[in-house]
Amino acid sequence: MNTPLSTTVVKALLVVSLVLSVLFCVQYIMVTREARTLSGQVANINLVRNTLQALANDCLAYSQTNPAINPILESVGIKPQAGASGGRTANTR
Amino acid sequence: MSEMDLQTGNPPEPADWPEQRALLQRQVFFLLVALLILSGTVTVFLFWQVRHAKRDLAALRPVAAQVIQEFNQRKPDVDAFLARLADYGRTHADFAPIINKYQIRPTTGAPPASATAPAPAAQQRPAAPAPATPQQPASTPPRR
Repeated sequence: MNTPLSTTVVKALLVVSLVLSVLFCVQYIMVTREARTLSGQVANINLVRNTLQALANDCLAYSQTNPAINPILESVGIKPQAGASGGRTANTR
Repeated sequence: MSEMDLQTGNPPEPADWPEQRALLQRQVFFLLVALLILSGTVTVFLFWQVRHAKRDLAALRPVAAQVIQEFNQRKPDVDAFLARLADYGRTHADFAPIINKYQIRPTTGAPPASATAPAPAAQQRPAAPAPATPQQPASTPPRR
């Protein structure tokens, strides 16, 4: 059973297995790194979106007492144009 | 101990040496097989991990690309909006709390932060996507 030939075959298989393990390991590291980078970028963008949403809401609240800001809000659609029917609310993202 | 061994100085060869050598070879062989099984298991496990990770990445890539592209497209509009807010804040002191809360600073012509590495929201003012624009309702869930 443990002839020199079988030992050689087992050793060769072992080397192949180790090489494949290293290759898969490197591949896994690269793929997960890219996924992590993309996820981080999307998370940051969502964070910015949420912050801008909060800013829009604050600006809307501010515009209740200071209509001077209305042209700015209307220009980006946060607040419906004066006289426009069925305008959007500030809840925009 | 034979006379020959005494002359050469070699230790005497035990009678069961061939047996012990065969036993040792067999043990080494079994250890090699065990190591091969272990290594194969690890290899298969890594293969599945890579496969799943690639699948996840393939699903994430188009979504992330779309979000980033959208962010970059709307960035100039948002920058302009924030610049206008900053200008407004300069002339209206009562707007200062909001300016300070979101750290909105007037753009000075410096290149805005790239969408690939957006700054944290608390520090980021003149760089933000859609939210201020009407095309994208807030009820839209974040696509991930």
